[in-house]
Amino acid sequence: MNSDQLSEMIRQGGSVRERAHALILRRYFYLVRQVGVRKLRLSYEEATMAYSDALVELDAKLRAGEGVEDIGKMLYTLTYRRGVDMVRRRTTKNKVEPLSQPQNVSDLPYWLFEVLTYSEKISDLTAQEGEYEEETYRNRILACLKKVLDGMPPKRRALLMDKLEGYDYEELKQLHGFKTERVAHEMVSRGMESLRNALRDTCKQQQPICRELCAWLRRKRI
Amino acid sequence: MDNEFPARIERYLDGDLSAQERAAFEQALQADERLAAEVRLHQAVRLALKAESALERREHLRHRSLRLLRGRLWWWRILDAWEEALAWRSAQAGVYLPWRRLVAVGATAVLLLLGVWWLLNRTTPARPAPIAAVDPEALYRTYFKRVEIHYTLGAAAQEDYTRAQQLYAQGQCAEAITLLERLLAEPTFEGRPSALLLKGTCLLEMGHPAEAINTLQQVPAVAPLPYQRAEWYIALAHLKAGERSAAVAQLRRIAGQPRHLYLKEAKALLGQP
Repeated sequence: MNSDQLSEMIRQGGSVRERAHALILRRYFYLVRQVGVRKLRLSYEEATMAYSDALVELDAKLRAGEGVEDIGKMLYTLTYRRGVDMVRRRTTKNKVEPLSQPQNVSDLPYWLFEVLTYSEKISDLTAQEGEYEEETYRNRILACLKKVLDGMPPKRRALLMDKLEGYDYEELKQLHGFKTERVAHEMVSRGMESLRNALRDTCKQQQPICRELCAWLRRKRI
Repeated sequence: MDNEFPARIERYLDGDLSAQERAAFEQALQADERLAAEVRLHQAVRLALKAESALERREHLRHRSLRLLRGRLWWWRILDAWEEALAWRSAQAGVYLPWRRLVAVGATAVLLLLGVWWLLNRTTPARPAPIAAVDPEALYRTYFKRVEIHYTLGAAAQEDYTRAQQLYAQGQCAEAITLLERLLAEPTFEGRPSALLLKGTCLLEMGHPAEAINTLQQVPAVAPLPYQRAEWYIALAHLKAGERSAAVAQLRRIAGQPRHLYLKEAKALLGQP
């Protein structure tokens, strides 16, 4: 399969996207050694984490509609960048994220945040006039979103996440055990509505951690 | 804002609206602040879900990558050790060694050597057996020798038989045959096998292979030595007569008897080791 076909599979979402990930992961795994170990002098584990991060970023970029001519070249560049992040983290003596601890929204790395805000066309989310730096705004916004998500049952959350991952209602029906596609559709609509209501309520309650996000929601122009 | 709007907003954010619908929606967005705020709400919720999903995917891909690494690490470590050794040696020598090129050249050289070795050691086709390759007449001349006479008979026929043997040894086959035929005609003559052998070889020497074969075939099997000799001379008679296949058949019969007097000669003619 060529780059175009793999890109199309990722954009399609769902189980097709999973297959594309598996193919890309194996095909370009040599970048772990070539870029991470030999070029950047990372350990094999660090280089592997940089490579997997590059895969996540590639996936997010493709899903955001970005065009990729050659997946191999793009992955090379992204692996190099994520590897440089690893080196910087090492030199600033910050801990590399342990894999065993569950990650939450507030742990979202900056590069992933940027791709996601780009995909939702809300790149101005952290462009705020105020006392904090952009990184702080980002962290606070993510912390607010985490608070909103935590209020939702995990199964319902998983359903909504799968819907945004590109699974169609037939697949959602099978994955989550619904009787019909219509039921799946209804559950997704209700779930999204309840999340929106939770965010509205958070803003109404004027939670301090959500100040920046709520201010952005109230902005007059997109 | 009616119930249709959430679905329409989702379709707009998913990029599922047509160009016309999209343009109309964006126009409405510019005009309606409430709609704009609602779209932002949708965007924030989607961002939260996508962020959560992206983190899960990141975790999942990391685990898969590390699993894949475990399968490849042993080979990569071998390559690392090799590169390190080559780099150390080149550093010691004070020269830069393009190790990839060296490996390629080395591998090519090994393959070439293997090819040459194979060419030199491949099984050569067996040479054709002499009996197949050489003229039967030539073979006959090479292998024919008169019988060596080592024994004598009883007193009664001794004179005649000894005389016949002497004539045979001197190459006077015609006289020897006359004497041998007289002896063979006597019912009490005890040296029939040897006499027949001598007569047969004389006929062969005189250029009468068919008669020689006839005579030699009369040598009884009960006398092993004359019989084995007769078998050999029959083969030679076939060669003399140009009957290659008959000669081969006779030689194979001889070669099939491990204790045969002429086993070695028969195998040599057949090209057998």
